Amino acid sequence: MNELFDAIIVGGGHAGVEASLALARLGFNTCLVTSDPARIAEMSCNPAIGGLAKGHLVKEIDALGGEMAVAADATAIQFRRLNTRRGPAVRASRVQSDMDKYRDRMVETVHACPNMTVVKGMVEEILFENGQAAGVGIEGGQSIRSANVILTTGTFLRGLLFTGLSSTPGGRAGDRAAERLSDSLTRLGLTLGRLKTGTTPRLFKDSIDFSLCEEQPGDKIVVPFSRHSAGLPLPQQSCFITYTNERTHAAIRAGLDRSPLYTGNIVGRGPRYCPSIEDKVVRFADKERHQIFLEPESLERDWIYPNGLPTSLAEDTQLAMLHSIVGLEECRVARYGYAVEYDCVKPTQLYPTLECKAIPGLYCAGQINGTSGYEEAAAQGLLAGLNVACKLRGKPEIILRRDQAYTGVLIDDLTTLGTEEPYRMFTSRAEFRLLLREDNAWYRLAEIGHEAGLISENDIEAVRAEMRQIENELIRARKVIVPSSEALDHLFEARGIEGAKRTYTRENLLKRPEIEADDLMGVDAEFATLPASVREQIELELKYEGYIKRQKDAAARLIDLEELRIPKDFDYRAVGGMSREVLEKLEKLRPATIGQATRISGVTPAAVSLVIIALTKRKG
Amino acid sequence: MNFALNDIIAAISTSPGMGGIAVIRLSGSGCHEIARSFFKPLSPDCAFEANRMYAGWIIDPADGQPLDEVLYVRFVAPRSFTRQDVVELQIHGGSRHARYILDRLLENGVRLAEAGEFTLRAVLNGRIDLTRAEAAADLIAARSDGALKAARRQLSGELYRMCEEARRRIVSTLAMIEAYIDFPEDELPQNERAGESAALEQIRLLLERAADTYRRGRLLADGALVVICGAPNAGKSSLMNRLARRERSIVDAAPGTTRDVVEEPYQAGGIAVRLADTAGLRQAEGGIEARGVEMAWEQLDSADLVVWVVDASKNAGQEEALIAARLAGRKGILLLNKCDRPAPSDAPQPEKLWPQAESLRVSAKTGDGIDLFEKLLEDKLSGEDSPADVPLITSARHHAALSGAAAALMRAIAAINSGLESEFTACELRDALTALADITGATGNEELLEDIFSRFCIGK
Repeated sequence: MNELFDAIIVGGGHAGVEASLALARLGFNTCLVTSDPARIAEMSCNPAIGGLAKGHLVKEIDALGGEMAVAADATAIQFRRLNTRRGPAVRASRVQSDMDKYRDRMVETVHACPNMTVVKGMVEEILFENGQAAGVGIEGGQSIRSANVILTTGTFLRGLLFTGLSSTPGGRAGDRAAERLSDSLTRLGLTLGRLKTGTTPRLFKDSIDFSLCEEQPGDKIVVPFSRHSAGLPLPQQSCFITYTNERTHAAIRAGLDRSPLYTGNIVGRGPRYCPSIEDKVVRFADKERHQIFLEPESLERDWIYPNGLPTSLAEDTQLAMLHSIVGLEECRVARYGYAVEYDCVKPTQLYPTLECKAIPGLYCAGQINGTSGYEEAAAQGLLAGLNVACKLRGKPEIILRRDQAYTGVLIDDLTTLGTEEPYRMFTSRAEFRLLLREDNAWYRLAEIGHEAGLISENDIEAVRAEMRQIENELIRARKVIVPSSEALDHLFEARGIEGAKRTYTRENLLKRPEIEADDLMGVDAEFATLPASVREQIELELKYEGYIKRQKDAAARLIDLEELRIPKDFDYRAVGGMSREVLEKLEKLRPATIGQATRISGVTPAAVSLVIIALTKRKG
Repeated sequence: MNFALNDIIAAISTSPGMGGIAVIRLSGSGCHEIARSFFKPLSPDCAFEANRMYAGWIIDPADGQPLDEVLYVRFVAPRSFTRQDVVELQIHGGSRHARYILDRLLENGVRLAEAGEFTLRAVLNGRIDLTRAEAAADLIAARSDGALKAARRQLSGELYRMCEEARRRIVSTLAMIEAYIDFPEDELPQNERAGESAALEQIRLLLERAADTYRRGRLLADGALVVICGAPNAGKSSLMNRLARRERSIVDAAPGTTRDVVEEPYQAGGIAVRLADTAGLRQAEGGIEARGVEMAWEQLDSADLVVWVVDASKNAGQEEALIAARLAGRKGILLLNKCDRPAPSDAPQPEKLWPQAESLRVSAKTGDGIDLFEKLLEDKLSGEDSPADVPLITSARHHAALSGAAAALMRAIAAINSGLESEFTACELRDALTALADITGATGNEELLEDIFSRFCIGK
């Protein structure tokens, strides 16, 4: 292929899709290389998108102009809002997806996208010329050329699938592993790690007795992830809950001698938050039962995903285990569970743009960086794509701050601290959690998405108008009087609040923990005419004003540090006055900003001060 | 790392030592508003114009009492040393008072400056030219090294262990809260909010008690100033000599003999004490005695403990009224001296003279009651409630860390009790961990997650 592409994306998973769509939509000549163009955006594990902190990521992807939110809405077969009884920052949306429809929709979107060339092939080598990336070499000898390569290879790097004592090379069930790319990366000087994850057996729907299980329907009120979606078009399905029992645990223990986890065959580290069922039974031996969610994978294909049972036990052990569980006594297995062990790139070798520090032009995004989860992958893919676009246009790079987005927390954690296990996003990772809500993702990020070129003029104008309205209404809420009325008295009575028969400002009412925005619909006619999204923001900003202001102030204090960029060729040795330990840490990580430097453990305020002074001298 | 470039920082910018004038410097947007709330200008229509010096009083925010006479200078950005808003407070009482005021500032959202941090801001904002930046860098490197060593010296193993234990317990409570937030579908054991709040209260009390040892810690490190005051001829000098066990002050029946402030070293419960015998407090006629009286009043203001000696063999007079007015609201020891003599019909009544004080009847001449007084002195200086099970702290940074963490825990408990959603409690607990980080080092998310995953079987 003689064509010179603006960017090549290696891998058509959730990261690769976002990266390639972003670049192609921005008008760049984009090449997506995948080993199977019909399996783009396959959901290799559970059939769900969103959840705590992940739902937040999906909304951020939407606000930055990514595809995941729209696709998730179009293919959702169950919607649930989690943590509804907690505060607004930790409420999160999740959908069960028809994974076939999700994949097919993404395949169609990618293939139909202008400026996109999809190439079927297995990449074996990163071409490196004149001190930077120059393209990729494909199995069979062909090469594709571009100065920008984004690696989104998921679990495919020297992937090894384990079930019982047998192991076979593979990227996931049904796909070949990328056997030779790891060597190419090592030759280029990258340090690789080895991680492990696992998935559950898949069961045939008609072999399960759901009448013995607890039904878990979705929510009646559904709220789509995307601002562009009108609703969820597909019919909604229930999930079912069943439990393991003592017999299950006995069956598992009996099979441990053929578990690759316990025989030492698997060396990669697995995620603590998603342990295999054999791990749960061994580590929490006192626990009498473990919850299993039976989740539909698709409306048409009759596979059920028994969430909670990831395992790499031998097939006969898996069967014995399954058959001991209520509702699954007669179940037939469509595909056995397996563990997959794979190479990852230690992400501290990347700048926060996701470009490799040692290899200009080579970017990594998604599971290759040690993360887990479709949402984490997609967010990184989108940011890698946007940063390549910035570079191609000569615009400043996009680094989201920790107080701006979960995506910022994700990339900062990876590139500053690295990770020893597959990294999943949790809300507890975000110190500015109260600011990073699902409900304000567009207000936080749409300007950046617009600046990058993926958010349309119409959309940004609408968002700006909403933000102005919210600002005005917040000021007005402090003045507007809600007159005393029978309806208001009833509300006070119903909520058991003293103080009826008086007038209040709108703010007074909304600040009360007992009163919600919806309660005002009948007592404050003017408020009722505001758009729902504006009402929601007014309520949250007023009700939690003290805490929100504290976090905003704390974030504002740190912005200066985040905006002090450290040039890539900065010479730490010339700074002087730093301890050797601190110097080594700074030289190894090469932080992109002073803010990032402050988050490296062991780097002292004095060292940071010295670097700032050296930077000031350099500028002057 | 508690570090930023635009928050409000403060430090005592004069070298430590006794007496003289100490300067507290604040820098950062909003510093005037905070410093202003501690300052009561002499002139009520004070305009706080930039670059002008205003005389006034520093007010103790705890009780609204004037603490010390100070000069207040406000510099407005960019016309200041750091090119940020700056306030300088010149404090008469010297470093002892300066530290007290600094501690109050640190409790009100001001951060203690790191070594060379004012200079750093000056460099960054272009106030110091680049040829001098090199020298600034050397200064920071040298000072931070010194500061680090000093901090290590001050950080006893005991204090570290206690804070580390407190930190671990906060992490454990936080882990519980976070597990419920992030894993709503996992079957976690029922959590008890009441239990949470009780556990946090225990930690808070421990931290608060440790923070409270700062006073005694400082006294141990610096020594305490005990000022003996009273009307002329009440027997102050006799008392001094009795305590010093030798004739130090000239004792004379003529009132007003002591004109200078006489100091004597003394030990009370391991604390080095400077006993200061002052001129008899009265409306002096002028000359040397008047100057002596003025100095006595100044000494009173900077005393750690005031001992007021009253002649119990005489009726209370004008001088007593004068002193009572001056000491009103303060704590201290009231000595009813000359109890070897018969009391008059209208003898001074301690509860009327100085209700906040503890009173004792003594005779400096015969030594009656002096042993009790020495014991009381020791208790007062050590703080009667000074616990034996928490380490003493001597550094302002450690004090700010402990009291900051204790205050955050107080807010966390309030959040729990008011029924706020648990992520707000989590927010406060993180603040507590951030405050403690100056002693224990920062708490990473990784440790929190490890706590969650080792305790709970997570994994839908």
